[in-house]
Amino acid sequence: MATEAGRSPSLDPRLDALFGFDRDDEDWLRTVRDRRAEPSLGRVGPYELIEVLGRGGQGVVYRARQPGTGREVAIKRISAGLFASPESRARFEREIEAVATLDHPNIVAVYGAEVIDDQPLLVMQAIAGLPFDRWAALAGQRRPRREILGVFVLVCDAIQHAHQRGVIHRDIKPSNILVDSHGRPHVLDFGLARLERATPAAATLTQTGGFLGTPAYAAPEQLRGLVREIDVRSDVYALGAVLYEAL
Amino acid sequence: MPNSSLTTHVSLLSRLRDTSNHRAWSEFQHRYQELLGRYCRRRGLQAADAEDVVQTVFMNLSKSLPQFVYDPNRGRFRDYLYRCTKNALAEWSRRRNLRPEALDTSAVAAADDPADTTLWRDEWVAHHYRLAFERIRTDFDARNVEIFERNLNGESIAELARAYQVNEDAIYATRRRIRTRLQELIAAQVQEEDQIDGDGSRPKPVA
Repeated sequence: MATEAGRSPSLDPRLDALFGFDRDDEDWLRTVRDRRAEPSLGRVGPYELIEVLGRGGQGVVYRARQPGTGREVAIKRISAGLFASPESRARFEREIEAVATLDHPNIVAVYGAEVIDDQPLLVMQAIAGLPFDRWAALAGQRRPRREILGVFVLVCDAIQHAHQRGVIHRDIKPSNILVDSHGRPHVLDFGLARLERATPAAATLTQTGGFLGTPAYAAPEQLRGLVREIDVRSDVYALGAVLYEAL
Repeated sequence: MPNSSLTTHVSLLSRLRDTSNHRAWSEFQHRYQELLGRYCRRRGLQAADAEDVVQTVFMNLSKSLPQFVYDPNRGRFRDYLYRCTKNALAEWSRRRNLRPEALDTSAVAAADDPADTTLWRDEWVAHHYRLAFERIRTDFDARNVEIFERNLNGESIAELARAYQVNEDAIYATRRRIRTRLQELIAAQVQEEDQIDGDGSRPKPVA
């Protein structure tokens, strides 16, 4: 029968050959399988990279294995690395400075900052969890409000901890709040954080980048790029948007 | 026939000519990040270094694509992208080798090797399969996709027929339908890839 003959109708012979559609099903499957094989991610210094956890405008986060201990960690590396602009490097160094001041059970733990191949790296706790919105809507059935609010209060506590140390997150959104299997939230990604005690140079830095953040959760002053007006209230606005969506 | 949803809208490359179209740039990066990164890694770069090169390619494209001049003799968009990536690799290698402790040029030594062209072509094929599989996962129900994935990963038709308690013809039919759909999707994707302003225009290669 036709299904066993193993050939599809030809669209463009050259294209068919390139993609293996001129072969019978078993050969074609082998071609597809070969093309899907993943090349190794390799290493950053001594860290063996396992997978890309996330990629944003500010940096790339890898799950990696720490040498010696074998412990899995998350490594954040600035986007563009050697090609990164001085502003991007300064912003990343500010993130390192910001997270170094924080110590809270609901903020991702930072193990240290390193410089490997002239590139600054942030080594953090690897969190296995779900983004807040997906956790709240697990399996298509929204969790009870009480449970959602219970976790949300812990997130607010974490953000308050940051505010009390002069750190404004500026990019609070569901994907930056991971909830682990014990129902504990972990706030991450202080890549856009601003320090209240910023130096004049750092303050300029925040003003030259235009809009930074995530529009769906950004406060009006942040959307309009009014950098001087962004303060703890901007984070509170984003928290409200996250909660509204979750409920 | 190519999938109309992929061919009737203004092509992604055409939208990229408007530098203020951030959504198009974001879509472009999402679409090509993996292709460029995998190619660089196959060339021997560590993932982190590959990220550097990919960012450079995107930065260079953001400058060159809006000012393209149509030249039908210069090749397809995939050839242009290949040259951009090789140039970025060469630049990466040059910068890296400015540092005395890093004198490894092996990653760019193969730049003119015909095997490298094959490597790029294979990754470009893989790229289009990835895009098409994303559509397959929404076009087909989860059970059929699962059957196909298991077959792709080496389980035989007979094993699958037993596992899903259907006759073997049903498994063959699922595979056939997905294969045909992949073929259609890829044809449409490739067609769209070469469309700028709907006339098949392409940017001139970078120097």
